[in-house]
Amino acid sequence: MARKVRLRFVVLAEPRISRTQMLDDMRAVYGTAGIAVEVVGESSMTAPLLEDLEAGKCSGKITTSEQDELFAERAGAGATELVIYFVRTTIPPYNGCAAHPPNAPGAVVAAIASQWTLGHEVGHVLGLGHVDDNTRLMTGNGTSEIVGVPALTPEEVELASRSPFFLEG
Amino acid sequence: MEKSTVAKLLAAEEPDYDKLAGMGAEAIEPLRALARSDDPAAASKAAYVLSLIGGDDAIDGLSDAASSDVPEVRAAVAAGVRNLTTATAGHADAAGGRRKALAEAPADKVERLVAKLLADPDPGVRRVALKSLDADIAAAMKHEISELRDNDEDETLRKIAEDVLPRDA
Repeated sequence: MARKVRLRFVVLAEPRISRTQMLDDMRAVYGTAGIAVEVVGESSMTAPLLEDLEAGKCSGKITTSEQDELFAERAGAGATELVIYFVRTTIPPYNGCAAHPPNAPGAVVAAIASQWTLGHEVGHVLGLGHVDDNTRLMTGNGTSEIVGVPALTPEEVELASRSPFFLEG
Repeated sequence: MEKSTVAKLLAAEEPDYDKLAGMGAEAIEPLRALARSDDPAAASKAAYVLSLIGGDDAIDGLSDAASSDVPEVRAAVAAGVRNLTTATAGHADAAGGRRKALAEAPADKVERLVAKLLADPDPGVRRVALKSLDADIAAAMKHEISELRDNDEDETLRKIAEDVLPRDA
């Protein structure tokens, strides 16, 4: 499999559904679409003030000062690696949030996340938007509403392939 | 409004809280039920929406949720305190705005809720509650805040409390 995304996990709080489960489920979706998911590192981070993270409206590239502070900690990630921060909660409560500062690509996953949240948020970072279809990973109706293993469509894979974080070879 | 309808609206990965707040008073009963549910994601989001809608019945729902066994739910209630403490008219601004709930609910009921959160066994819940206080409610909670400032086991929390209520104030 030549196409891949590379992730680095930074753990402030463990999610209720294990990271292993989320990663396995993400790989099931992305693998079916011909995309490998590599985890190039995992580390823990002690930052009590950021465990319950102010996430604002979680839209576009607008971030809060707390998101800026958190995403500044890249744990040695390269420019094309996505850093996934596992926090306890976001304020207000989201399952996850893909808003990130420029030049610090990544996403936040909260403890209340579903099994598909990790893959969904990475999809946002790769440039994918919401769809109104609960058989697809990028459903805007909530990944907890997904039945079965959701899909990434060829059109979504094509769109994601234009992302600088979608690696070939 | 049906509980199932509200639950679907809350299921979104990144809910639009401004839109959810617009459900208004007719959503309070289903939100209260969802805030008591065994689903931490639904309960957290429901509690936060209750804080945005405000009013006496919503405060009762928040008080129930503040007794949840799930710290993420209690953290969502603590985050919602920011929506309760300033008597600003107009539509809720979910990502940090203020709302007129205090004006619509008995102040003593809000203060009991805040006191409960400031005494929560989870330091993160206490931190979020403390950070969510505005000047009016902080003035009413001097005893509780000074207790945190002087005696809390959590160092970061003592510092936040000191910022909110300096010793020489």
